[in-house]
Amino acid sequence: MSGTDSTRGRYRIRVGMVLLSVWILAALVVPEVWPDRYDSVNYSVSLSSPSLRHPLGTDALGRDLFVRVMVGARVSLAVAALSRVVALFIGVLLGGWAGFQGRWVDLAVMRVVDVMLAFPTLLLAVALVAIWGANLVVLFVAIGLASWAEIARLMRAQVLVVKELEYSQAALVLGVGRAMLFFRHILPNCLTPVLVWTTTGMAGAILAESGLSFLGLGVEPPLPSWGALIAQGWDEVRRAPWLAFFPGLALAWTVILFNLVGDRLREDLDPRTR
Amino acid sequence: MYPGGWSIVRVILIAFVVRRLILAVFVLWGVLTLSYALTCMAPGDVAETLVGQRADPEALAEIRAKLGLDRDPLTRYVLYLKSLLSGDWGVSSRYREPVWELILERFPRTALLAFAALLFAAAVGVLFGMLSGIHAGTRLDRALSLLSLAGISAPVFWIGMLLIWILSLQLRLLPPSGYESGDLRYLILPALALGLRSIALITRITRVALIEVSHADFLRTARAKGISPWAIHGKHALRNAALPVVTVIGLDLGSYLSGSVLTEKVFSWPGIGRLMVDAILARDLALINACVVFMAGLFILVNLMVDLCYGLIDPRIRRSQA
Repeated sequence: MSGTDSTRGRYRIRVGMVLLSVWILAALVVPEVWPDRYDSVNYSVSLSSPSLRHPLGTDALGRDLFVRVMVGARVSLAVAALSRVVALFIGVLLGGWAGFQGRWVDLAVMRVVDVMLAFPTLLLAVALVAIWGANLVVLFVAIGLASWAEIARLMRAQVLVVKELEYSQAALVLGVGRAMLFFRHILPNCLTPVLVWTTTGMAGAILAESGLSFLGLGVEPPLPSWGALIAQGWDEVRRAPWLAFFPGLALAWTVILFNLVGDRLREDLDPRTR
Repeated sequence: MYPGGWSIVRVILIAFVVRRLILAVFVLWGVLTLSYALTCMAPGDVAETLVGQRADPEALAEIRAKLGLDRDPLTRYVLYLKSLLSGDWGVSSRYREPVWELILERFPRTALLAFAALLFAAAVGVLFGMLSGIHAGTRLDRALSLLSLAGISAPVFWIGMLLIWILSLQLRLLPPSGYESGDLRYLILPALALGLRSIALITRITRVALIEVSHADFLRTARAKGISPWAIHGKHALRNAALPVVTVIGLDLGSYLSGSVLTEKVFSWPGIGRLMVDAILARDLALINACVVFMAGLFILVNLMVDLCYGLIDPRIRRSQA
């Protein structure tokens, strides 16, 4: 990548980060100050089209769609972020352990990873939600459990490289214990690419949550999430097409931002694209 | 192609395939075990779902004994594996049909949708990628990049809804959803929606691959000989882009063949993805396990075929395999 391209890349990361921050801040603040609550029913304004009072219109129960989209942002982002924590926890520990120990541990863990990668992700999440019942906690745990395998694979690859580096070898020679060597010296030095990958993973997790909600396995109503809002809106598509349109737009926009930032960060890390 | 060398190449290729197939058996066994463990954890009584909640206790006990439900999970697992190996995959509790008949009935529809989506995606994606790559850095390139970013980011079922709303509810050009055997009009919208994400990925990858090889010596020579840019890229550069493009198509094919659950749901397309989700929601254990193994098997098989394709496309890999 030439100098100007790289500068443009940095600029885009910054713009992406700022837009994301503003968006998250809005999701936190708007529902608190908005005159309507996300669950306040008002049949007199049922299915009204977008206006100054209700910028995105109202749903069949007369609930303001704008505030529901903003609360949905909280739910969708929280589920996605927490699912990343779950996936990171499992992926980093298992992948790191496999790469560090090598031999049969590596063989065993990576075969489990193969199985997880061959198992259709969304269906695994669907199955877990179907077993445990749909609620917020189950949702992010299920998405996390369904998607840790790629992180494990990446982490393993990182550890394989880092453990051969001189400082790791030096620590080993100096008599540092294996646990200390792993958690203190190797793990922190493997995390950057894994965390960058997580940015793109957020995009995938948001999409996964919306998919589950669309299949009717999302958070319990009246709590909205983007996927649930799109699904509910679709039931009214003939009378009020905006109900499915705006939540989808909010979702797509957020995923675009995460993808944008994630792609650029990844390019920055990868010396081949520099 | 390589006189005298064919036999060695062939032996190595066969060894490679055999090794991968053995590995695949283990992965499939793992997938099956995971699926079995999950279905064991599922709440609810299988016997009850079979005969209904109001059946008398004796009948329930009889069915439990017949299905082996009164034994411990491990014994059941071993018995289950035994029956699978003897070819008995069980009967769906929901449809009361052998599970493989259901799967084989639904799969061709899913395959039709997957191939249509990818054919469309490959054509448009390679075209967009070439446009973008040849005009790298221009406004057209940036517009196409943005478009493909949006394509990757929008949820497929929402795109599907937009397509239905515009093309069938407003313009009344196509049927909104459903499936009629032999009527391709029902195929267009779901294939468009499903293919969009692949278009975006293929566009990106073709673009990057073209830009990467654009400084290669053989292209400079071609340019010096006065060959037009489209001919250069179409003939020479595109061949170098083929490898990553085939990878993307292969990976997407693998996941589309195992059922595009969301697309099938929006368009009421009676494919294998919906069969599977319905099976999960109805706790149809035999069907769930068979579907999972079938899907994972397809996924592994497609990946293997993609790896074999590399050798066909790129002689360098063929040589390194030998």
